[in-house]
Amino acid sequence: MKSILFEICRWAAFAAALIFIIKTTGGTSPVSNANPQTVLESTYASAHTDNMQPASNQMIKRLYGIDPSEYAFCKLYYPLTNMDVDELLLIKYADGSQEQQVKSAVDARLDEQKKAFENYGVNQMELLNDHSVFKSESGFAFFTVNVNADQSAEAFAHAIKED
Amino acid sequence: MPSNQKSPKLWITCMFMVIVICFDIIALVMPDKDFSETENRMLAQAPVASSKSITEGTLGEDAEKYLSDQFAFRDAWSNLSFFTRSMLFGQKEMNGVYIGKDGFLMLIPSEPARESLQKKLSAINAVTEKYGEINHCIAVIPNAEAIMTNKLPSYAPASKQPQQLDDISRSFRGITCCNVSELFKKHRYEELYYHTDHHWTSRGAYLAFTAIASDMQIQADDTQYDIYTVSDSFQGTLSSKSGSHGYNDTIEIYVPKGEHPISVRYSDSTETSGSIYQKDFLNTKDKYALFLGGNHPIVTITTTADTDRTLMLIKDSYANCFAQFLTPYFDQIIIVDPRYCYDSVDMLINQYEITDLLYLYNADTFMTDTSLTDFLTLESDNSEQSKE
Amino acid sequence: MSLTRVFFVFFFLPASILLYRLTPIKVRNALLLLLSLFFIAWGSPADLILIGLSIVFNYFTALELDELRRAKKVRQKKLVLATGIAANTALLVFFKYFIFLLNSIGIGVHFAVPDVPIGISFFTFSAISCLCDVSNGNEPALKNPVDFALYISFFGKITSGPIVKFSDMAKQIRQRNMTVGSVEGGLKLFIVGLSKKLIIAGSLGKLFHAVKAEDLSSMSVATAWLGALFYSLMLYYDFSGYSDMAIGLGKIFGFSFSKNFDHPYISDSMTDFWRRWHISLGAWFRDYVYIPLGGSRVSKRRNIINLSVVWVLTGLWHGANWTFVVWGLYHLALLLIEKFALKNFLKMIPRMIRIFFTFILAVIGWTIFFSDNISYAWSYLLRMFGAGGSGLLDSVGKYYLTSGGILLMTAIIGATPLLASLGSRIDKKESTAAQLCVTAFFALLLLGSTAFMISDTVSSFLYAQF
Repeated sequence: MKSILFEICRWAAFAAALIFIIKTTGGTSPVSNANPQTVLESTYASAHTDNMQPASNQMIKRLYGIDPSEYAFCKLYYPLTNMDVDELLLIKYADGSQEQQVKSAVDARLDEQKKAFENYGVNQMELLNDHSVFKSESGFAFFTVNVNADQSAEAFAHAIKED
Repeated sequence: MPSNQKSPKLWITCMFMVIVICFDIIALVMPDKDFSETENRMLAQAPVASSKSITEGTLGEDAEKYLSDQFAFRDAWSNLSFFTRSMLFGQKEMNGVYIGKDGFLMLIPSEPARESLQKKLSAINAVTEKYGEINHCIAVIPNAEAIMTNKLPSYAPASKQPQQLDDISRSFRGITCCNVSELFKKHRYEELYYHTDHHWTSRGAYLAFTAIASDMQIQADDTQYDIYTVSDSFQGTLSSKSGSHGYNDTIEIYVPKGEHPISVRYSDSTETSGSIYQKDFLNTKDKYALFLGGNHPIVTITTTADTDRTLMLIKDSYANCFAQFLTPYFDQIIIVDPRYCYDSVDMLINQYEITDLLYLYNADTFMTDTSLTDFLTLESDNSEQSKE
Repeated sequence: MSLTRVFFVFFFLPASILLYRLTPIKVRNALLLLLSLFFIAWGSPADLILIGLSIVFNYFTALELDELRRAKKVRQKKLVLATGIAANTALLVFFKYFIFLLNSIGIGVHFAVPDVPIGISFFTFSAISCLCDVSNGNEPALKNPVDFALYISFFGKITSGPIVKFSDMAKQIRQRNMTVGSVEGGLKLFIVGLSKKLIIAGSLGKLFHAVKAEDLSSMSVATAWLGALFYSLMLYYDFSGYSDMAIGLGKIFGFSFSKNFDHPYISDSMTDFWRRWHISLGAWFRDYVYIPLGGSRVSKRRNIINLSVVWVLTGLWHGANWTFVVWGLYHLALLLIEKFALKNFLKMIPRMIRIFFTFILAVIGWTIFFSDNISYAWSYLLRMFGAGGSGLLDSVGKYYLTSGGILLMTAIIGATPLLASLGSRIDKKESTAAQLCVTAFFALLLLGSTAFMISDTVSSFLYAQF
């Protein structure tokens, strides 16, 4: 009799673990239908944007080496005074295969900024190291460097869930 | 064991508890610091616990960073581990810095990316061709690792820079290239580089200036300089990077004799200054920022030289202490650091009436940086923006 | 939480010791469990859920096995055991090998496996050990869930072992001798382990990474061997340092775990090496894989098959990469040659020479182990034996010899039993002077380790920059 109870308990634990794993496994999360412009606005609203300015496509190409026309949506706010490091990038992939390309572009950009300010810009280094966030999910990529990076990342995660 | 039953020895336990609890008490009592002078970086601060930081596990990591950054006598601990590594174990490099002889620290140059270097060279050649009426000149300064070979740790691999610089100078078309490697090697006993910083000294810059001057068609010996020692307690970036703090560098400035009033304007500030020296920085960690206040996107120096020549200096931080030699020879000097500047070369050349163009870089930055290529190849961004 | 960082050494450990001493014996296991759960949650609270569910699953499985064993329901018991092992293995395979498996059969992966839970290779093996021991009747199941959870999650061993056998630890969880003297001995081991890991392994690691970053195509024989030696000793100091800390922590809280490393680099044969290197892992595979398959009491062919299974699995346990499989097979081949071909021949060779060659063979094994792929391992081995590359000894080789030589010699001497026997001889002396010496030595180790602990954050910060 007891063994049946044990059996039930252990398989309940097993099922719970299974559900937990499935829930935390990334999966090809379905592409979000959120309007990129809305996502951009809500992330921008939560970021510290005093030191940012909107970038032209030319500037995106120059700073990230990617061509905005290849993406469904690609907008960048870049540092206002060149001695700042605050920026915010939102991309919607045209297809999922672009993820790797964007990821390495963002990595390269962050590395380059760190190299430029290493040894000189103590505050800039702190922002680049501790207040930069990159996220890629549901067909969107989001990258920002600003003091409220965590809040903007949260806003991003929230915004892409809404239709 | 009879001794165990009598009275167990507790020496180690007491020692451990006393040491650990002492440091805990000090940690509680001592106020937190914001900034580490020796490491030249902001220190981690007490993390704020939130439901998010707890569930995502970042709180633990932040707390570890905080505890170790604010640990009592942090600098002394770093010195102890540096001493153990270099003196006891005989390690010769620390975090990409050679621990050379006589306290000489030298940056180990990074491997250049061939393809992007090639792009950069063609971009420079293209600009030279496009603006034929301007005097173009380039100087890529070898790093200490290539020149101070007698101070390298024993058996350190031979520097690749002399060969690389040769290759670079051969690929230029129509631009005067000044290679100071041989000259620097001849004078290497004259403190051309700081011991604890990756920059060259004013002395090194002056030596290069004498060589570059003739390429730029200016008379270097027209000017005499007053040499002042402004600091003898400089510990630069390599000190912070490697953790070696046993040597203090001296900073000299070369001030042209006679009256040379100038005005210096920084693109990222509204103030103008009458000197290229910002002496406030001598009281900070980053004393090399004495020269032009460190790095800025664009610095404009207006002089009373009345030579009808305007120079655009495209540079990295090596040129900051080079500018002091140029002021007697140009009416205006536009100093551009492409790493921080989002403008393009076309726009700037059109904006100012440039007669001379000088690229001045240290070899390590020149071979790895990519912003110069962008600066040279991209069309003016503002024009496109205004069209939108 | 990491055993080698400030929070653990300066806050968690002393607080745990004090709390433990102040707590009545009855609730000490509960206290240790709470501390362990906090330890796990510190780094990633999500792991707590998974480890918790694994504990619940295995707790009930063990109880059921106990019940069925007593009721002599053999078939049912076998089924429960099999499903229990399968579930644990599935967990391990999913987190550690899933992507590797899919890639090796040519399926691209389009989703991210969540972060690997802390110590998964260790706690799943502990769990399997429990199920097997209970099923065999070696040890009754732990009825108290607190006790069982402590067996799986004890903070001393959850991150990197040793994999303590259930039958060994269960008895101690129920009842253990607790003297103040054990704290003393435990702390000694802990400090030794800490300094092995932070001072020696950390410095050797930096040297090894410098060699590995060198251009392989122009590497000289000397450089290649130095790199391999740096790695071999780093791995030993790193892993045995962790084991010392874990065993020391066990001792502090009254457990006695058996040795995990016994001076492996003075082994005089490969068979001997595997009796001294990562002993708990070898014992686990012997008890729960090799012997159930029939061990050596079978035909020679069957025996070789059994050994092959054990060594492929041992290789894979270290990570999901073909290099680990090859490394396992390499050791299998050496052991088989020793067992079947060279048994009598080896006896005629002087012991020192056998030790030397065993060490060299182990070092060659580690070059396969540290390579990222098979072709890298192959070219590295070619360089070690002078094919291609730039001669016997070039300036790069001299550079590493002069910058790493002293550390390497220190590390090699420290890997022999010399220091330990010297230490214990002084330690046995009752005189105050001798005790003072020993205490000063340990204080020095503790302070030295602290220096490396504090300053290494500088370098990790710098690493993160590029």
